[in-house]
Amino acid sequence: MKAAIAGLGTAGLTRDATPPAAELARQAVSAAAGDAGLPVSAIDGLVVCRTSAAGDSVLGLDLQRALGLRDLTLNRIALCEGASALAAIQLAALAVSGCSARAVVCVFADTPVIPGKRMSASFGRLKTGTGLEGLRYSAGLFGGAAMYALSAMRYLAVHGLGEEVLADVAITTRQWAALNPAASYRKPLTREDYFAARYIAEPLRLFDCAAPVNGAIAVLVTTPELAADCAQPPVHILACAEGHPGTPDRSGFDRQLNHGGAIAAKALFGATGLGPAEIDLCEFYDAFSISPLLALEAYGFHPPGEARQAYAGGNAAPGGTMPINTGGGHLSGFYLQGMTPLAEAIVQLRGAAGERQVARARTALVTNDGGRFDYHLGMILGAAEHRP
Amino acid sequence: MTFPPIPEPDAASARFFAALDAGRIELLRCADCGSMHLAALICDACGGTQFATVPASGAGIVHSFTRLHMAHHPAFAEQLPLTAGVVELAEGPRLFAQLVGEGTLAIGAPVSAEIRDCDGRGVAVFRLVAG
Repeated sequence: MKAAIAGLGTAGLTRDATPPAAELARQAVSAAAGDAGLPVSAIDGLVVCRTSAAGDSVLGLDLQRALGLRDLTLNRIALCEGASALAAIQLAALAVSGCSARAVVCVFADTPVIPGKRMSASFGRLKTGTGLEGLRYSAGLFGGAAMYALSAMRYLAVHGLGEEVLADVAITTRQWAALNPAASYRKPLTREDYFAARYIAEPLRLFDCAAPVNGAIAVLVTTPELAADCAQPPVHILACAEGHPGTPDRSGFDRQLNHGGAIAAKALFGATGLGPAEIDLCEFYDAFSISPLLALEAYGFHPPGEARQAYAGGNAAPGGTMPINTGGGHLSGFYLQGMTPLAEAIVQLRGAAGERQVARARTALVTNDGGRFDYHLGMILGAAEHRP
Repeated sequence: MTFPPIPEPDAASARFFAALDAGRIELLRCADCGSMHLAALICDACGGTQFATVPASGAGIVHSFTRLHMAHHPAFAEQLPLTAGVVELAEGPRLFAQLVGEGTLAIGAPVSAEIRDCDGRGVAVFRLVAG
């Protein structure tokens, strides 16, 4: 794959009221082009990342007109639930690799936060559903937290672990957020604070769940040649891979714990010749604290049940040997689905992360999870000197 | 009485929901390989497309569970904390269900199905088996 990231733009990233998602998307795209040092008119491809929760009225193909873009050679909606962001980047990278576009912008925007209302008003919406999967609503399992709680409960039970394993993830991630001016929650999180917070869905407490914001993130993907002439140090897309296990939900299988990262990991490490030891930092999708633990094991950083070692010894924390979710992730940073981990990897590999900059940031693993762990994409990014 | 939301059947689950509405849990046994399913048009184990309907025993174990501390639907408002999870039927397939009763709640705990009539639709809840 011959593609690089040349521009990153954000809009909103706030828990206050904002303009609608489409306007935030327009602002983020303009900012991404500006960041790359390119005029918006240089964009010849547009990929809108979306999840099934949003419709055309929220963000659609007509973003092209709102941006005043003409004669695009790519305009597409990428829909892969929470993994839509990396799915969009992959599509953009394939397009520029295959010369069907030269400068493709991928954008995600969402405005779930209604000031003064509980987040459950946005994420726990009443649904009925269809078929066997719809039984979750008959059981009262609304919202993402209820479903990820089933994975977390089983993970802890199968491996004989306690809730402090989840606490370590939340506390470590907050340490990074404290160093990130754009993070939602920056006050240090003590173990007492963590355990004093209310349960959302046992074993998940308040700080095991993402910090939603209203905002948009746009990423501009281009050829390594053009990226080298842009305003920012290029970030190279070394490999991208998908993994969708489709695990049967019956005895002999474990849909709660089987993570698509195991499929993607083989392809990513195979394509790059790298292994877990050559990854300098990880930016995992962490809408819930259980997610990075399962990702660490799926990608072979730790054997099953041992991912807690990444956190317990301080390795994942600022100054540690394997920094994880260095901007505060979804948990303490901001929840803009798959764009959150990607944006932080870009900033780190540019060496532009300020106080939270990881000393050795040459390669980064970025993951996106959709559904529960049903849909997965992973990507390995390389700093400028890693041009393939 | 407010009933919980009940899914509309799709092609794969039509027989399952019809049986549930009639007060029983039925399984689909693949005619080729014997794999058990709750809903299927094609057997994911062997690719078979012929299924025989067989009654479920109603016995199962808790595969995973959670206690929810917020109700998102009026049907659950007076049941907090609400216990729900994934039940693995003795025959193998799993489904989402509310868990009720005073028995010990744990992964692997035995449960038994109860079909509730919700205005003509059936909902399976699972009761923790004491001891």
